Amino acid sequence: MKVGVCLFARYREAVGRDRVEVEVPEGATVEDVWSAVSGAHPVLARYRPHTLFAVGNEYVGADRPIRPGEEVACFPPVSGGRGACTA
Amino acid sequence: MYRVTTEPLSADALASAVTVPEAGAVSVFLGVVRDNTAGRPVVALEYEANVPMAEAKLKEIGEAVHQRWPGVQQVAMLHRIGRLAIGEASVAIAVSAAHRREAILACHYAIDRLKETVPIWKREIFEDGAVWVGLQGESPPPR
Repeated sequence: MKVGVCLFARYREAVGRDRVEVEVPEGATVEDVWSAVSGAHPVLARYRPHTLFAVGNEYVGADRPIRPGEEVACFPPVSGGRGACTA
Repeated sequence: MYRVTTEPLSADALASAVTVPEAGAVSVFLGVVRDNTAGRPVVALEYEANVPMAEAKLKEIGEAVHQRWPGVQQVAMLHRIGRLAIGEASVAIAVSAAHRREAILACHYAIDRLKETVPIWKREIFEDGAVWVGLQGESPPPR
């Protein structure tokens, strides 16, 4: 099945697009989707240890199965809020 | 009111939005763009969001505030995205409550939670380049 993957921040910049599609088997997990994306865009591979995943508006774990029609969002740790520093 | 917007934020407008007759206190927090990071001059900040998810997470924070502080009357949280100049507000939170203590505590809680769970990222623009903020690994996955 085809799965849409939305990319944000440095991931979007690294790939040069904010959305890609990957082909994964039925029953694939978020981790499988990530493997497909980072396989197609190796520039992302090094970010895996700290990557956050979301489906819909919810954070999900890498072991979550993906149902047909769902999109996966992949992004780095968040840094919203105040000021010019993360502190 | 829980929104991500490209429009400038107004503390006055947000305070008015949460002001109700039952409230004896309105606490407002504004996050503004600072002109340096660890002494290095910053020209501007650029914010990017997963907008629908960010707005959903802002709403969740507001609901959590109401649960923790039943005396809180109204909560409003706005985050601006796009390029912001020094001194402009990137985030605005307003909380009204019957009494000041709840309003202040709830406002503090809301900004702390926002920074942990709301999918927004910023890039610091320096005179000689730009960097995404947030070293890989500095923050654990939100729950």
